[in-house]
Amino acid sequence: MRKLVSSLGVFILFIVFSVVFYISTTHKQQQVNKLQITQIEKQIALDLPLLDLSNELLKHSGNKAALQHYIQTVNAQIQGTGIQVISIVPKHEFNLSLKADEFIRKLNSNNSVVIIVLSLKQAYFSADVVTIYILLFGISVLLMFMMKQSITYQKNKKLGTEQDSIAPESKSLTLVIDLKSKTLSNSYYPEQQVALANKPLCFYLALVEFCTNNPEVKLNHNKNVPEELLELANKYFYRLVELGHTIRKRPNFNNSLEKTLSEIRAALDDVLNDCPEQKELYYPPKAFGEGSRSRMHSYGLVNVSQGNIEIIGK
Amino acid sequence: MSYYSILNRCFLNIKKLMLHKTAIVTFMFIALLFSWFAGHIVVGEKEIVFPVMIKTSTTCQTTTTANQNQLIVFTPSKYVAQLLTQNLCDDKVVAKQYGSVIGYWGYRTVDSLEFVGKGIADLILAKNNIMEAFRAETTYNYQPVVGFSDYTAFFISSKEKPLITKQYFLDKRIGLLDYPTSRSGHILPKQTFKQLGLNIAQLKITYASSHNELRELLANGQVDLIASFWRENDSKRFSKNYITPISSNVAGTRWYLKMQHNNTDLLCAVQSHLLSMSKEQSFRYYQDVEPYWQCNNYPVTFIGES
Repeated sequence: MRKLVSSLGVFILFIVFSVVFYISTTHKQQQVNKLQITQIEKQIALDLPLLDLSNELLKHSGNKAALQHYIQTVNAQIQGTGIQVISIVPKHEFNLSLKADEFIRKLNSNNSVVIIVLSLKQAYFSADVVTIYILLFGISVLLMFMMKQSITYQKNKKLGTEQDSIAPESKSLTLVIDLKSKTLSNSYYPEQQVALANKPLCFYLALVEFCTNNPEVKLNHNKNVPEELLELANKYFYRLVELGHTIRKRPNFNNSLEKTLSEIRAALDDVLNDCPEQKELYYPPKAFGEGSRSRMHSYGLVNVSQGNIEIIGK
Repeated sequence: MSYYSILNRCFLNIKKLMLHKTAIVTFMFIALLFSWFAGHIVVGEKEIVFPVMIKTSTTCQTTTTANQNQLIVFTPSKYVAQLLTQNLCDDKVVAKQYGSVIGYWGYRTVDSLEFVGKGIADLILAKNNIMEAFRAETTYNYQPVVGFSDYTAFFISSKEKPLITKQYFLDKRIGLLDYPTSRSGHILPKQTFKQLGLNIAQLKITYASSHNELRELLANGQVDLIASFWRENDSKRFSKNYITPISSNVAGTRWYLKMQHNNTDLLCAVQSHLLSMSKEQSFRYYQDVEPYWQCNNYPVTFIGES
């Protein structure tokens, strides 16, 4: 069944491309033919005074042999175009019944109308055209293969998210903060780890703990960082010292707060790239519109208590 | 991270990108564009360039290429024009006076009238009635060089000997030549009809463009009689008993040279070429050519028409 669907898909794609290609070639061919027919007409019109055509008024019978020779010469010149001059006759002599591939052009001169009968026979399939058709078939197969792959990929992805939504408790995302390796990662892709510097790492850990305990407290840029939060940050810094990551003295967490927060945000951006909907739980809010120095703005993690954070090496 | 894992990750990212819906739609769009442009490219766009399709002249250089003077030849026949032009180019007397020779052949009746009437050609093959009509012998001093013998014009029929009576022509389909300068095929038969008191508009006349075409008409039974001259090989298709003369001593065509100077050297050179060319003609009539000038001894004198 699946095979049938994909071969049908290839067939439909091939038909669509072929139709576009066919319309393009015929359109171009018509343009070229039109131009060439005009060129032939122009040449015949130029030679018309020298062509010995019959003339009813002047009782002139014309030279049929010379005319035939002229037509042959013209046809030799336009060989390979698929166009042929069949006859050149004054209107009063014209009584030919046209064949399927024949058509006429009229030359209106001052005292007579001359009719040129032309034929157009062009074989559509040439080596180039066949090559393009084969190429189009190849493209169709390739596209169908890509589509099939894409459908399987999308399906797997969908299945993954569906499973997530069915069992949110068991499979919900967990932000893993590893003090030993100083990295952040999420539980879906534990191998995608993002490293963070000491200061932001400590500050983020302190922020998480502080906001879990005091969700109502507004943290404003204008005010100093609360003592409790600073203590927590210092605690985590000493833990890092214990783990042997640094021997430097502890940093001042009050300094360059905005820079620290952007480093945290950048790390979280990387870690939570695949699940943006979870971001608001762990992300220190950015100031929108009101300006980062606004009194209204708080960088506290209001909803952090709803999220899962696992701290390794606490 | 090792290079391998970086590569692997890159590959995974590319694969992810390629399998994205937008990527596939983009590829489809590109494939459609390709189909369209391939169609435009694959059709050959050959421009037709025509050379001169109908040649009415040929030019050749004499040995004195610096000389700007041009000898202009006009004849109704392409073959004769080409042959004579080449012969004259190779001639020493011509080379002393001219840098090139250009030979025109009449494609239409009007052309020959223009050439005679305006005195354009230096050497021209024409009928004496045309030369007389334009007074070309006096206006441009065209002198006859050689002439073909006089001939007789006939009504030729395939089934009976034509009678020159009013009654006879009334219900006959008659073949005539369409060019009005022809005496045997146009002027003389029409004169005959006029003398018999026949209105030409009442006659069933079919026009042909050449004497050969007239013979075809008669042989195919499209006409009952034609007006023309008699040639030896006509007896293969028609009976000599079924011809009636309209007029005898129709003067043959002649070669005329424009003699604005008393250039007798050129006259004699041209005459000798015309005589030797006539000998090579296939028809006996054209072999029977008569020179009008005495070139063996100086001074050159006009022998005249016999």
